[in-house]
Amino acid sequence: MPFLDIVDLSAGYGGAPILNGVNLSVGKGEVISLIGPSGSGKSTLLRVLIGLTAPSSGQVSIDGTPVDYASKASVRALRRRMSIVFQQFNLFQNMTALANICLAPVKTLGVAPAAAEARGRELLASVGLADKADSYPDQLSGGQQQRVAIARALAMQPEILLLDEITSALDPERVGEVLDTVRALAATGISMLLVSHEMSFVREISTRVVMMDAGRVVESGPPAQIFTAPQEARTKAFIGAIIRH
Amino acid sequence: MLLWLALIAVPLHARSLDTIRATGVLRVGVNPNFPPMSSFAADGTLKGFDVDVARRLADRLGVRLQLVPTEAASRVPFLVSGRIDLALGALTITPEREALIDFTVPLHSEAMGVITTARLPVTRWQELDRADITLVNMRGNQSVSVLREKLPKPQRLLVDGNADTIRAIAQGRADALVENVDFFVGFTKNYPDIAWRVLPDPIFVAWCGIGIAQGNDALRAATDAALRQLHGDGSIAALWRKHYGAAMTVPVSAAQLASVAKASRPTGYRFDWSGVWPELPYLAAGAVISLQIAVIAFVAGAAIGLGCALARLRGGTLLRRVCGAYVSFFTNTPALVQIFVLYYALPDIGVKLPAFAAVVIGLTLNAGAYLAEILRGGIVAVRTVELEAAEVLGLGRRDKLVHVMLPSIIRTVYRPLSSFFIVLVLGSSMGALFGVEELTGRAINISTANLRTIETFAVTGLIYIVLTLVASGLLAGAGRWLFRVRAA
Amino acid sequence: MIDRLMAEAPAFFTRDTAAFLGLALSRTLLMTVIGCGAGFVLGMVLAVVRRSRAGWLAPARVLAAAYVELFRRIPFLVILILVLFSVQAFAPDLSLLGIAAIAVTLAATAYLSEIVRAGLESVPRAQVEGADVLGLSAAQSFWLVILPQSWRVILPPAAAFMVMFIKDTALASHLGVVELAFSGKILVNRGFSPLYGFGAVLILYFLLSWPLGRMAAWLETRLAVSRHR
Ligand SMILES: Nc1ncnc2c1ncn2[C@@H]1O[C@H](COP(=O)(O)OP(=O)(O)O)[C@@H](O)[C@H]1O
Ligand SMILES: [Mg+2]
Repeated sequence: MPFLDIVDLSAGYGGAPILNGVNLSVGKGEVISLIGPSGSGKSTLLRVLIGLTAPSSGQVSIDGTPVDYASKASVRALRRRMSIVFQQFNLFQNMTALANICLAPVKTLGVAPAAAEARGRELLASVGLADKADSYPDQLSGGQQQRVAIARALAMQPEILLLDEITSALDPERVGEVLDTVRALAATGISMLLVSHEMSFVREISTRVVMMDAGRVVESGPPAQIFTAPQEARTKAFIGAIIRH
Repeated sequence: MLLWLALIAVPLHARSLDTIRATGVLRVGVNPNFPPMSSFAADGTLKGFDVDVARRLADRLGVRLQLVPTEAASRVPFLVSGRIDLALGALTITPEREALIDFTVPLHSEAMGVITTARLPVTRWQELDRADITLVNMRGNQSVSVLREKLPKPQRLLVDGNADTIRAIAQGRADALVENVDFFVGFTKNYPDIAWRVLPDPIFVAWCGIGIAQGNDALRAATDAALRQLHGDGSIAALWRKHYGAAMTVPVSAAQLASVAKASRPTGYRFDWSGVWPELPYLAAGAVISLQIAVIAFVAGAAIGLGCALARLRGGTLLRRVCGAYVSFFTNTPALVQIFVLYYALPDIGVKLPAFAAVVIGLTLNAGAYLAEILRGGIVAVRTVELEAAEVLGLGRRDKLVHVMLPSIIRTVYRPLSSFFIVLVLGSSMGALFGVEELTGRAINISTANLRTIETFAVTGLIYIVLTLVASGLLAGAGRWLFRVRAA
Repeated sequence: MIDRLMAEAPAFFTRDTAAFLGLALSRTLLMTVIGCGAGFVLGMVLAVVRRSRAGWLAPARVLAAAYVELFRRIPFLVILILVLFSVQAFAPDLSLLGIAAIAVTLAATAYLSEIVRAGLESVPRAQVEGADVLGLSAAQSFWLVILPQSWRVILPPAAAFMVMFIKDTALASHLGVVELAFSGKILVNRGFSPLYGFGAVLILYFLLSWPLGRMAAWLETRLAVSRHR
């Protein structure tokens, strides 16, 4: 049984349909990359999964338990198992890096502050920022902020992590340090569903690549197959356009 | 709204004689600005005829006296609410008041006569009925309506305090005061250079009692008894002589003192809007005057503000300093006190501004300072952003001004200017405190006559809301249409 | 004129006059501080109500919006008079100063609510989402994330408004509150030259308002520099 199971999921903003029946499953420890043209609904899919945008129909279950996105309790339970990192980091500007990481464990999981802080420092060290605990977000570079954001998401001890174009807002020379962090993370066996335009990275890290277009899954398969022998015309066009660059 | 509706079911708070005895305190409302009836002496305590009478009443009741400074217009509502137990301050017995409160037997008479100066060559009050004469009146006093009837022709100047009436004549804003002579003649001592005159024969005589909440019969009986005694042993006549320097013009008769009051029942506060609706046209016309004040002050203020803004950006050091001081002074002091100065202080150096002019000039100077800041902000914003682009395009001086600077300035300042216009519409209500009969002034006039303050002012507030909503709407529409200013 | 001023000087420049003006000044400050303080708290409540999403709060949202919109369209003088007469029914023993403070509160609530709302809206939506996905409750995300970040946008205009309102409290003189403006009028009625009576009052207002205004401006430049403190 897949860990995360998405069946016929549809959603839209104010009536305009964006997702049109997405079917996708993520197994335990799998790393799945979503690719596809801009506007195809990749971000929307992640937002629906984490409960920021309401689905219009379809079914999502995690570890066999269906998620009821209309119920606050169910969404709260979901967010203890699933975390997300945004393109724009969304770090709390009024808190230090360490405070950003410790906030949710203390406030929502009831972890003792001292324990949360010790774990927070560990996480910061694991993303290579042990010395930045007391820095505020606006004192950190984009890459550093993004690594703090990853640490913050990990502090909730999620079983599955969603990553939405986490390197797109970074200066090119900062991309590498963030990808290294994700690479290290993948090795820990956590499940991941990520959106990225770094194709060589996608190819290297993914267990499966999923091509989306117009709110649907067009094609999915192992990276080697999708990048070298795509079946669908739209996938071919998309891969072709990217390779030519 | 809820606040006002809740009043319908208001419990009555008037304190009975038993309560007063139990607490040991009698709360008496006296006017804080009404010498020699009552006023603050230099040592900060209230002194005067009313104060002495109140003290003797408290003595008779065997309780301590607590004086509550009460403006004329607040006396009746304060009695009804129980904030005060007794109201003094020359409270004339009238049918309108008797509908809301009870009165004791008369405390003193009120003989209406004429105070004027040698400037006005008249010998009898009937000769005052001429259109070229201005009579000054104190708002809220009985005499206002009496005058409308007996002397319809003269112009009227309404002021708020006793001292203001005599000052108005001394400063030449008015020619004569038709009022209870005893009360006002004392203020003429402030202006010894003026040849004051009091015309003989009173126009008519009214009676003033002590106000008590309806249904408070035991307190009224006790106060009546005390008053009979104080009249009988000559104490009241003596106090009158002490404070007025002369005997009461028309003394209270024995027959009046002997009358026995009927039992009364409290009616409570019930909303009565019937006195307000007929006044809607009068109020609406007042709204037009409010709007006029705002428009004049805005346009004149904008001219001053523009000059000042330019001077601060382009002028020499001295000009910049002067304009800076002007803006600083007017934005850091209240418009109300600025108008106080224009209205009350300027006559001392020979400049007599009518109330309307004083208010308009005050608001204009105030607006000029604020608008200077807004306009300066608009001009500074252009300099940094768009001027360089125009420079690069090689536009001429004139083109730059007309096509680049002005449109940009207007788009920046249009919305702050519109909001400031609304501020001025609301600010024009200050005119009421100087007797200008704009919307708020008219509301005060109405409510002092019908004693329906809450109803009158609720309607007035609504008129202001409608007025400013319409003005905001029109301004926003004009901005979009003329200057493509985006809506808020 | 100079003669008159010279003649009155010994009577005017006394400890009594200073004490009288000092007391009046304290009343002006008290009305402003109490009224604007309470108005700030209530204004924040209204702003939060207006941001709420819950269906059952819909009527409260409409009322809050109407309050903010309407009370900024009624002259403060009219609010003062309405409060004076309405409050009689509920609290006949409340002092005139208390009544004026209530009127200031009613007006300040409406204006400060708009200022608070603008401040809360200045916090990017993404910050709320960040708190959301970490499982923080609406209240937690408001107190821990949104509010701390909006102070910097709220405080400067709120401070400027309070300084502004110091001057508007002059209208409370109409109720008979012996604050600064009224104290000037009383001094003039006692026979002092208006140059003394109003001059002293104008100077005191200026001394109160100008430094506080500069402080509000300083606050603005200072808070604009850093986003986190
Ligand atoms: N908040 C929103 N309101 C309305 N439309 C949106 C919103 N967010 C995204 N969209 C639209 O939904 C579509 C899918 O967007 P998105 O999920 O961000 O695509 P991707 O991440 O694949 O680029 C786009 O057409 C976008 O314009
Ligand atoms: Mg996206």
